[in-house]
Order: sequence, then C-alpha cells, then structure tokens
Amino acid sequence: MKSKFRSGLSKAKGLGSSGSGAHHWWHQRVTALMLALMAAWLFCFSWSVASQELSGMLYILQKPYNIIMLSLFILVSFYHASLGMQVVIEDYVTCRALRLALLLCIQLFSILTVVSFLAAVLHVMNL
Amino acid sequence: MAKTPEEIKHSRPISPHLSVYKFQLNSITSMGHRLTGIGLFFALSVVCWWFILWVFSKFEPCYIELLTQPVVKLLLFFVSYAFFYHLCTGIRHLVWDTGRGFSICAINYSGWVVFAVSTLLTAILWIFM
Repeated sequence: MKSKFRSGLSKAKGLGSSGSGAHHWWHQRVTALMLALMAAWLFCFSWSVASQELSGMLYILQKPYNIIMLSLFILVSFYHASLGMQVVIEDYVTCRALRLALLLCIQLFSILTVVSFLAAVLHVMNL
Repeated sequence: MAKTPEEIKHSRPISPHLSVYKFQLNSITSMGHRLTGIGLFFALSVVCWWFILWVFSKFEPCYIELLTQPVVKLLLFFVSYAFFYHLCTGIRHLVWDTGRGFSICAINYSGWVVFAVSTLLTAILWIFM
C-alpha cells in the first residue's frame, strides 16, 4: 500500500516514513508506564537506604525483591532515556553525521552502563 | 545568490518552534519535560557509575562521604525535583495519549497540578527523609 504512491526516485533516496516510528512511540509509552509504577518502589527504597550504615544498605540491597526491582528500573530507565534522547537529537541536530554519531554514542554508552551496573549487582549478590 | 538545496534545508526552522510562541504555562511545562528528561539521563548515568565504582572499589567509604557534601546534596535535591516533575508531566502525557484532557481549561489546570504535586513529593522526600 505504502509503495503504491511513491515514485521510483523517492524510494531509491529512502525518503518518506521510516516505517519504525510507531514501534518507537509504543516502547516509549510502555517503558514510561513501567517506570511510573516502579517510582513508588524507588521512593520507598531510597527512603529506607538513606539512613543506613554500609551493612544495613547491603542487607536492604540484597533482598531479592529490591535487587530485581533495582536492576529492572535501571534497565527500563536507560531504554526509556535513550528513546527520549533520540527524539531530542533528531529534533535539534540537523547535521546527519553529527546526528548519527550522537545517537550511536547515547546507545552504546547506555548499553555499557547497564551491563556494568548488572555486573556490579551480581557482585553485591555474591558478597 | 541563490541558495543551494542543502542551505535551504539547514535554514528551515527546527521542529519544536521555541521562538515563535508566546511564553506561557503550556510551553514552560512542555519545555520542562524535555529539559528534565535530558537532565535525568545524565543524572541517571552519574548515579549508575557512582554505584558501579562504589561496588568495585570494595565499598570505599569516600563514596558515601561524597553524598554528605552540601553541593552534592543540592544537586540531588534538583535531581529529585526533576524526577518528580518528569514523572508528573509524563503521567499527564499518558493521559493525553488516551485522548482526554485537551480543553484549554483542563490543560491549564493539569499544568498547575504538575507543579504542585512535584513540589509536594520533593518536599515529602527531603523533609521526612
């Protein structure tokens, strides 16, 4: 249906809809909803951790419920944040090379941070 | 001299036309949502790397001491406000996605509610914590 109205030249140039916008939009909303629900946990968690000594912090952190929620929160929030940063970059950066470079930086940095964070979480669990 | 197609493309105004609208509650809440979103991305990164370094330095006490510094506390205060603000405007966006709350009156009302609730949540966190 989509290709019916497009000329051969516009197809070759790759102009028009990317065909993946709805997917991006939907993931942004689903992760937003997940984070909004998890915010209540984060509020209680930071509250309980803030007043503790190191041993108390580790005790709270090592509870399966907290460590799962924390890992999930970081994973989902980095996905949500990189989707959001993508929108901002695509809106304001017109230079194509710079845009691509920034998008790659954001995504690779997010992956690196999430993986390192999960490694740190595994380390805490093994104490 | 005529502009090349590339120059014309680059001189076009960029998507959210910040400079052409009158400054009002709606534009402030919208820009705030974006700015806090960008800020939270960096804050989240710093917090994550703080945690990673803290864990792999075998829980060096200086990482906890850093949190008691007034400057760091002030930054954390702003981050918490940005978090609650982004949460509130985010929920507002999710409500809009269902097609509700688009009248001028409802939008102004929800704009003030966003500021009130995010201030209240930040106050609860910092006064009672």
